[in-house]
Amino acid sequence: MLWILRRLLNCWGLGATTVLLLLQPLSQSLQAKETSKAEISDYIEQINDTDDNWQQRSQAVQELSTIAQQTDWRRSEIVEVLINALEDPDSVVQLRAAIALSEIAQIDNNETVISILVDTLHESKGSKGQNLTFVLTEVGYSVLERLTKKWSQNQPNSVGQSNLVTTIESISTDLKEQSEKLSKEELNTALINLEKAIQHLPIREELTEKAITNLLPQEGVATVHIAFQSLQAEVGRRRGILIFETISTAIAALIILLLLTAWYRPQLLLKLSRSLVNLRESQTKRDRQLHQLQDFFKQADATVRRYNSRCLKVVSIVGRLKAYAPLPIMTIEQPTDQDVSELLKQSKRMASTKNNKENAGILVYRQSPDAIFRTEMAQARMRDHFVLLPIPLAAVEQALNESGAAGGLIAQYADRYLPGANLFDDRNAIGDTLSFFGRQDLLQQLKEELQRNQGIGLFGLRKSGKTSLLLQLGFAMRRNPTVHLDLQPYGARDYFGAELFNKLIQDLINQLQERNPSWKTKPELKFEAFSYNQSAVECSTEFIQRVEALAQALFQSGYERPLIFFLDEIERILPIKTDAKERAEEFNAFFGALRALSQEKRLISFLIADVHPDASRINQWSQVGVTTNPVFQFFKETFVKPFSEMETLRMVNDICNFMGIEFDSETQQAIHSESGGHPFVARQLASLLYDRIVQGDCKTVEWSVAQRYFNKPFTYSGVLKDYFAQNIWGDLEKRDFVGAMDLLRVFAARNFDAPPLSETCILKTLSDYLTKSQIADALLWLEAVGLIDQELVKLDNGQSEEHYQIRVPLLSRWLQMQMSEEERQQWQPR
Amino acid sequence: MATPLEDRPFENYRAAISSPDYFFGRQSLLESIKRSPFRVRILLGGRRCGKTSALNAICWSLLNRTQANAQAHALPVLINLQQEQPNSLDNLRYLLIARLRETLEIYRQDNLSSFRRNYKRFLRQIPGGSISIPMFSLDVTNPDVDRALIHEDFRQDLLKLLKKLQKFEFDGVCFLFDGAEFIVQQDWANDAWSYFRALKDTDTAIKPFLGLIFSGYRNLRDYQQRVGSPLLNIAELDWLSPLEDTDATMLIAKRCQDENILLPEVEVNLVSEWSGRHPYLIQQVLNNFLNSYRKGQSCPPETLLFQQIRQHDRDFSSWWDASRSAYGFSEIEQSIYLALSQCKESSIKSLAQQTRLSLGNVADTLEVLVGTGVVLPMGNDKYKVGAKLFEEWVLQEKTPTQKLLEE
Repeated sequence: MLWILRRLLNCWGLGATTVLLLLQPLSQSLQAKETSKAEISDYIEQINDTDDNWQQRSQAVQELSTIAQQTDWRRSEIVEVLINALEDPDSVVQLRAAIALSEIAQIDNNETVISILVDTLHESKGSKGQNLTFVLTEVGYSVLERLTKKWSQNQPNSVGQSNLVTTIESISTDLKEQSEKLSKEELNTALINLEKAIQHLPIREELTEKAITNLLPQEGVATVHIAFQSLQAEVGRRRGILIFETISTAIAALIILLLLTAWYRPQLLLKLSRSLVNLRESQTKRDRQLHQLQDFFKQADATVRRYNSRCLKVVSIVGRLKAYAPLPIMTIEQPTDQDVSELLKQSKRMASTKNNKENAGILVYRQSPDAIFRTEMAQARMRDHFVLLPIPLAAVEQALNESGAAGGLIAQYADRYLPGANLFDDRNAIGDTLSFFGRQDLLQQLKEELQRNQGIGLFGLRKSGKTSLLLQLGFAMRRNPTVHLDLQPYGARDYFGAELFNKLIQDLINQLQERNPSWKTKPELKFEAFSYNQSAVECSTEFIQRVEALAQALFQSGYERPLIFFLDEIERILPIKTDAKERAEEFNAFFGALRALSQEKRLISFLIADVHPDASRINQWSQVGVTTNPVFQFFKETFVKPFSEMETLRMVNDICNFMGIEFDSETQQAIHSESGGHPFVARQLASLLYDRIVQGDCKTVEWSVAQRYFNKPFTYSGVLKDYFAQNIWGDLEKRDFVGAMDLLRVFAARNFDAPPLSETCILKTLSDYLTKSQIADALLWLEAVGLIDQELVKLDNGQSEEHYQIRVPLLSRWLQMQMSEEERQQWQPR
Repeated sequence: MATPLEDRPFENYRAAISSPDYFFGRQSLLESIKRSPFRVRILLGGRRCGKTSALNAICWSLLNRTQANAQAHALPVLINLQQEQPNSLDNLRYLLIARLRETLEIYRQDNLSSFRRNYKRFLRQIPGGSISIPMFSLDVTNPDVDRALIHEDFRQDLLKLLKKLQKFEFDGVCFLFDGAEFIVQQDWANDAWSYFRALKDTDTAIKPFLGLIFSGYRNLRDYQQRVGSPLLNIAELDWLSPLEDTDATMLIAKRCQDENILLPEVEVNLVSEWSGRHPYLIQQVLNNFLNSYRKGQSCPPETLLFQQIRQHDRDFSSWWDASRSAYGFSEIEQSIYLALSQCKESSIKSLAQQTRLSLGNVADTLEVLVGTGVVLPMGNDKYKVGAKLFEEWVLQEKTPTQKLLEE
């Protein structure tokens, strides 16, 4: 054949050398085949001739094995011969054949050979079967799949099936023993194959049948299971080792990194440790706050559970919020707009478990949220009908000190924030920080002064926001033990001091116990209240001692110095001419004790609030034989001024946003200019417009519609009319403050657009009625409380003169209504 | 001529209405109170203007709890101050707690309640006592004898009762004070007003759960506290004006239905015109018309008008003159009324020009006159005389003020 090929190539005239080079391997192969064909036939003949000596047969088996391993040419034929050799009378030949077969089968996991071996195994008996089992076992786990397949294709109760099981068992035993030596891939493949085998092999119960038991030994199946578990364990062990190694490496790397960082950049390490400490602290703090909130809601008869790390869940609650339960509570240091979304999400999640789909959530905050938060809160209210109740944490802490206050505080916020409330119409003092506007500088100033032990007298018109300011100041000074004492309920008795002392001491005890619960059982805190019939003189020494002891305990518990006392509505206990001598003495003893604690002991700072600064300006009481006022000129006088235009606009705008309404800019400016920035008056004007104009779909108040209400405000608002009548004019009449009344009449008698009045003009107009001193007093007070504005105007002669203008035109309107035409003429400026 | 007394409820409609079926009008007021029961309100109205009936209606309305879930619910406690006559603020505090307890017990319909009431009566007889054993002695003063509570005790008692109220699904309590002018006549009025103000101002535990409604006349509004922040600052002030036209029509229809008499439209209009939709006068004018129907008498309207003017002479004379009754008109009020009756309908501005009084003065006076039910507001700042009976009576009277005005 080769000769023919050469001839052909020569005839075609191709380059002999090149072609020969290319065809050399092919020719060699053909040549080898020509040679082997004869050899293979010889070897087969030798093997089949069992009369020949065993050594020759054994040699022939080896030769055939070598040929079959080198080329697949006639491999099947060789395999057949070798399989037959497994039944050779000589055991050495059998062994040689078995080894040869296993070697051939392992070449690239030869599927054809394995298939032949498995088929033969199934049909074999006796030594041939045993030898084939040996062969396949040597091949290993790769034959498992074929064995399993064969098993599933045939009836179980045959000898062949038993051979299959025995082989599988044998392979399994090998695998079990050698599992540690297998590579990862080998282990996985073996595991997969074993799993398949287990799936197809009969389960143990099936093996109890007699027929099968004879053929399929239970041990065989059990061994497969054991091998599978053993491989699984090996996989697990290796995985564990891998994890351990990974972690160890990571730790080692981290340690190296830390060591390097500590060596080269120690400041980075400090920063890291600091942030870790901060993280831990904030989590601890949040946990403490959530715990505190749980106590708070428990006091308000609500059932509260921990929902997740940031959130509590109100399961049930009494009052108006009942319909909104379950609802979430979150506590945030300083809330942002994202917290609104988060709370809404939590609320919706909880809402899915209730019938009522009204959504609400409570957000307890430490620091007042920013403007974006307010906008988002208003939007969530309008867009998602989500009611958010923002409660300052300081208010919660204060309420925990007072029995029954927790429920009250929640009800107060529910009334304010649940739908339907007119947020402009606030008649009482404002405790809600989000509804408190302006006064930030004043708050800071008061805080600093009180911390310096400075006594403060806070004065201003009624409804100018003094009590609201004190409530916010209380929140701002939460690090100091603070007692807010409203004197209105205490003025009815001549001997009011004991009740006030009791109240102050009890509040301090409550704060101490709240901060440090272990104090609840301490006998020294057992306070036997002073009898309310005792005079302040009798109790004051013990009161001072008590406060001293309590102050030390409070400071030890983590509170800062000094104790802060707010005494609101001081007028209720201020002695007047008609009072008995005892009442003046009571005042002196009460304030004498406070002054001693403040000036001598440096333990307390106190602030009094009222309309007029009488408490600090009267030295000698009218009552005969009573010592002088102990707090005469003791307080630094501070007057609560009206809002600037920006503050008024912000207040109106924020409330509008929250209620989902809008006032045009002209209306907003008119609210400020007519009210002069007096928050109560501005809010009442806005409330009037809201009540009268905002109805149904009409959500915008335009100046063209609003104007008529500005022209006749008192026809539409009894509240405004009564405010000017009772709180401003009535108050001046009561005090017989003729100077202020006459001055206001002079301003009211003019047109609204009249220019400011010069001091000279005022003196000239009022000279028939008042002394210069009376006029000066009146001007000072009216300016201090923000009813008139003063400005310096440069005159033609180069000198300057004070000019005055009414700041609250609405007051002039009211006063004009009260004046007849004759009176208006009488008070015209000259 | 006296009207024959028929078998009609509420002392022939002279006493306050104590059954919801016979109460008409004041719906916006009732709804407003029901919506926010924990506020301070001052209900003002002239004599026989229906203040007590309105307070009764508020009680029914508050006890009728069919509103939305998110609505606050208050237990109404009615206290008649003219009857109770507390002698001090401590005594008033005691009364508040005692009446709240009683109302709560009545509400519970507890079988033991009558026993408890008797037991409490018994307790009030015991002034106190003293227990002495060796090393120990205890003096007990019974607060029920003094009928007085100091602030702290009152506060604690109220907090406990508020807690109890929650068990009955009430969020708090609304005290209704009938005849509250009694307080402003006392020397402790300032203390009481300041006290109520404090409860609503700074007491976090109490203020959201406490409603206060005071009924009375002008003096309640005009009362000036000697010291302290006025209660009025935080109060809502409502005048009980004459009934709305539709309410008056419904009331007349109900009365006619009860007595099986169909009044012709002319006479229905006469009832409305003569009474000026004043609640008390409507009832009395109706009594007369229905009486004459029952008797089968037909009287000319002029005669009937005259008879009724005479019948109400005592009432009208006390309404007219402040010197005869605390509810009477002051001289300014008289002059404004006369000025208005001369022109039948007028505005604040023209009345101010007519009487040479300030606009504020006229507006305030008209507010009082509307509240007494004898002047009707027409809207747009205009007013007209209401009850014709009263107007005719005034015209027949020759008061010094009238003479002066005529001159």
